[in-house]
Amino acid sequence: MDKFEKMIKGIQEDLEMPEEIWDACLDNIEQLPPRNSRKKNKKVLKYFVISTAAALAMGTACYAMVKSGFLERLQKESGISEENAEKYAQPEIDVKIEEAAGQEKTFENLWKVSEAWCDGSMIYFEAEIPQEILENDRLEIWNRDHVMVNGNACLLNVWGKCDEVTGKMTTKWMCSIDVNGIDDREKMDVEILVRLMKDENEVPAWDGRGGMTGVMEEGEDMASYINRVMENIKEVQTQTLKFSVIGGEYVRREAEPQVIKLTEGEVEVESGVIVPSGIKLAFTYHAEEDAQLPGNIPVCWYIEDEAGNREERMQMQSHSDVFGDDQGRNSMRVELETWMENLQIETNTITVIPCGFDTDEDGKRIPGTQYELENGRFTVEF
Amino acid sequence: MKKKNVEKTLLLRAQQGDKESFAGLIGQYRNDLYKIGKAILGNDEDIADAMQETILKCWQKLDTLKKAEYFKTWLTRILINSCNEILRQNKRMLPQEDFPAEGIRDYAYDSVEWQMFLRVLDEKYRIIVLLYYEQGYKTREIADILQITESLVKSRLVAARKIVEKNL
Repeated sequence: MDKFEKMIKGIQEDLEMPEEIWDACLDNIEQLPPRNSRKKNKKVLKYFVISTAAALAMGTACYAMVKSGFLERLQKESGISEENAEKYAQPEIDVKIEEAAGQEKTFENLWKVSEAWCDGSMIYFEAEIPQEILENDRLEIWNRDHVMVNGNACLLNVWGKCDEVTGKMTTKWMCSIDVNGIDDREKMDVEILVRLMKDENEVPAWDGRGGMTGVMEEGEDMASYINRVMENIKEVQTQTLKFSVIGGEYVRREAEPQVIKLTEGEVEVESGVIVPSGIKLAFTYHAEEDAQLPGNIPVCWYIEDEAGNREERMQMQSHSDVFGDDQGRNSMRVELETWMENLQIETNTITVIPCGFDTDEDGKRIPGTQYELENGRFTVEF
Repeated sequence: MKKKNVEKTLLLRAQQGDKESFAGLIGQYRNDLYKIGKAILGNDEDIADAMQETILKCWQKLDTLKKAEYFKTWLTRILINSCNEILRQNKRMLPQEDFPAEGIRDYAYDSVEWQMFLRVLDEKYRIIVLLYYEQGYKTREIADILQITESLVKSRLVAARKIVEKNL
């Protein structure tokens, strides 16, 4: 055994976390704030690592504020074509509001929702916040990141909370709900819980831009600070918004699971969905043990429709590690999501094109060096 | 129940705000996390700070994790970033000329092999050697965790072996 192997064997032997450290971890976990306040806490952390100037610059990274209406904003920020934006718009939705018992009704609408858009996979809408709340540094509106749709928990994403130029909070927030996970999409009953929180700390905790201004006391750690501040942030009004949208199952097209032969190996397509809000694909490459799989090297992905229109930006891309399948082959599972902005929704096929590229010393992609991987391209039929 | 199913259940419960499940999730990897902390920071005080930061960040970002099978990789990445931040803070706090070449470490309670590991190899090699040989990550996974190229991971593994052979 050489010196290196001896050392490795030594570090492979049990080395347990000392009880004092684990006990401290458990204490930290005990002191964590409730899950529904984590977004606020994330901003606290940011506040302490950036300067005031950087905080202002941060505002510029916020999603663009759109000057006109909801549909125009939807097109601009969600890659939905003008035709589809109008086609699946639901301009007048009836929103019922339930107030929590025992609370004073300070505001008529914490979130005012008046129109929505739905293609059977995603629901988009704009929530209007009372200006008075944004101007009051003692008040803030919180929402959970899950809403109920037909009784199922679905992911809610909220963006566009601040103006890209001024960094100030805006009154119109863009919201999307991913309803791909529910079975019955013909009619969707949506329930959203929104809470108005009042900051009763001696020094206001909020900075009016969605961040926090509080100061940690000497010797105070982050978890204790958050805990202290949170104790003085009270829920003063809670509303449950209830509205229904038409799902439109008919606009959703799904690919049958299929196996496609490649020059070396094959690709197993698990699922493929085309809806006006985008394309989702999940597939697994299988190749012989010595063959290189896309993803073994850094790759970018292109998606092409049958007319040759190409989308080069992926909304989401992820791949698994290479693993051995039951036939002893190398396998890799990939998931891709992209917008429909440049693609035709009527297309009968979608072609997936993985491309390699050159990287610099830091591993970053060198623009213009893409090359198509010979054994990765395949076409899915819908 | 299989380990992965247990992990999935714990993750779902933790995402719903259950702290006991969250402690369970972290707890099953506590020794692996400790070794990573040891490899980067060396001393228990800093490791405890890194763990505290990791727990907080992990709790805040739990909803961004969609698949339980990536939990360990995700957690490892957060811990390494927290450790690196502490390293940077330590360097800022101590004037460069006063900073010991091998950092502030207490080797007294470490095994002979861990002492060799910490003394001979620079931190950038240690973390890769530990992830590859001790925790069983593949070079591609290590590249993802450390946000460097896979070829750099491989070359550092080769270099680490040469350094150990030459200096021990």
